[in-house]
Amino acid sequence: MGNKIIKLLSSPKLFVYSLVWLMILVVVGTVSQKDIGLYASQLKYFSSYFFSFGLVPLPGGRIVLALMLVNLVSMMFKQNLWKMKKIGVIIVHLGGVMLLVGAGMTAIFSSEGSMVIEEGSKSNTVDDYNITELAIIDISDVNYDQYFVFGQPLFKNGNNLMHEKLDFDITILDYMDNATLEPLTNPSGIQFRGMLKNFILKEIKRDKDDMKNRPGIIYQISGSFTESDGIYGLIFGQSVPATINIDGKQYVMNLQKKKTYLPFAIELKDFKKVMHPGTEVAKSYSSNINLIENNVPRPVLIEMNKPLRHEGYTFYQASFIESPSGEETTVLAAVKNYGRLFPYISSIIMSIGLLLHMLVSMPNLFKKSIK
Amino acid sequence: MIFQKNTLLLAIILLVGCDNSRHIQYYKTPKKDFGIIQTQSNEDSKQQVISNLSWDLPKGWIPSKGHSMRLASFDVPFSTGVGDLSIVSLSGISGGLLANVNRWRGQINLDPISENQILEVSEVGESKMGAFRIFKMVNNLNKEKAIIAAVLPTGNKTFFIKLTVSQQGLGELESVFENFCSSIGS
Repeated sequence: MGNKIIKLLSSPKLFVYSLVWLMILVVVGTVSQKDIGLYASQLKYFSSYFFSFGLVPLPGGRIVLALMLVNLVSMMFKQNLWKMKKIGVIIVHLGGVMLLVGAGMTAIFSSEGSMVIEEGSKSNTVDDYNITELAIIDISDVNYDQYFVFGQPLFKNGNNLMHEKLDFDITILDYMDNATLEPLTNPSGIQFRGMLKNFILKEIKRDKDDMKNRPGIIYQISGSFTESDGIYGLIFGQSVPATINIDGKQYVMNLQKKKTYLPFAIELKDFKKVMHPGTEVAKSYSSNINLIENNVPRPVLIEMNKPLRHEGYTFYQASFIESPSGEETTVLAAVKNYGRLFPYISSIIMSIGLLLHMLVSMPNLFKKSIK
Repeated sequence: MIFQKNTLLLAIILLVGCDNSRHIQYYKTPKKDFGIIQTQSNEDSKQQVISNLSWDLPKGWIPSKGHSMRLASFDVPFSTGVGDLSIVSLSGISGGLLANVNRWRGQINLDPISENQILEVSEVGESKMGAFRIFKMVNNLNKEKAIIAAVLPTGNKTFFIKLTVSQQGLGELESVFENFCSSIGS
């Protein structure tokens, strides 16, 4: 049985079928972007192990790519491959393995988000575009804030969130990818606290433009044995965060995009934009920044096609915000991709492999053509 | 064959074991202004005094131009817009609760209600100048306009604090409005 599975996993047919299925996924995923949006489509078809088509579970992009990787690596151990005349094929296989390993690293470890900096201020945090987190912030100390942050993968109904330094427990009651607030028509139950005393958090259809989605969360605080025990709700983008007081400590509760703290800071000195003449359409914009590391500032200019690369991050000039009073804010897209170089290197390796294979096969080809 | 078995095992371990998220994190950061009034320390609250009336101005509220009747006006930002807050001082009881609340209800096309009903739906708060009543008025047919208002009667004057905002904004700003009213003193 085990040998049969291994034989199947190392069969060249599996690679061909996987490749065909991958093509179908690319077509379906691309077309579905129109209806469900880029991010949802990426999650459903490419970043999933399985997805459902009606009631039928089908393999998603990750499982297909994993199968292809296992298949390629397994083929490398076939004895009849290790011959001098197949050196080109071996190198092409190695290039393929490297490409898939790079894809895996990108899928698992890469992150992308935005950095929003007002002119004259600095920032060292990147807000993820898609992933949210629940931040419980103890603001009682006069010198610092203490953050207890719970990531989106933990937002499963009934899941208990706790931390040894927190004086209470949190139970997730509901998480919504896109939510809205609606006023209550009847008085709420006595267990509700904060805005849930007067409002209800209601899930609405996910917008295909992910930037328009406002996640919401309903959770219960228990174990403090104070009046703060109860059911709370938060919606992403609340300008006024919810607060609770427990045993003389004041906590701010916030549903926010996942924050990554950088070991350096970026200060926006000046933002410049050039408009197309006679229009309100931006022709180009750039950010004149100070890259501050170990308290040493280094001036850098980030332009639309000239990103800043530093410490594995790439900062692109993505957008800008202009307030009615004329204050400018830059929006930088921050991308960290550990697998960034893999496609280039593997393409070179595969090209070398194909070239070698062609050179090795050439004498035979000539012989055949002479005959 | 042994190589292939090990390869398969390694691939499965990598597939199942890889995870980029540390789902629970704890860290400290330098103090940040969350725009709320802290219970332990008032160092961050900005006290404002106008016409012998003082209050703790929440972070982000911007003084705006109101008409001459208003003692003060503020633009009150929330996640998707800006609300309008006014503070009006009138002598005596100025028509009483019934007339004023029903006037506000009329502004968002709600039918008038009786004084008993008004007292039933209101909540009571405590400011430095005494108790006040808070009224929330929401019309489900008009999500863009809702009102939360507080009436603070003192000896010879009544203060009316009114926030006009969308229903979404009302949900977000309700607690900060209550805190603001509680901070009012002379």
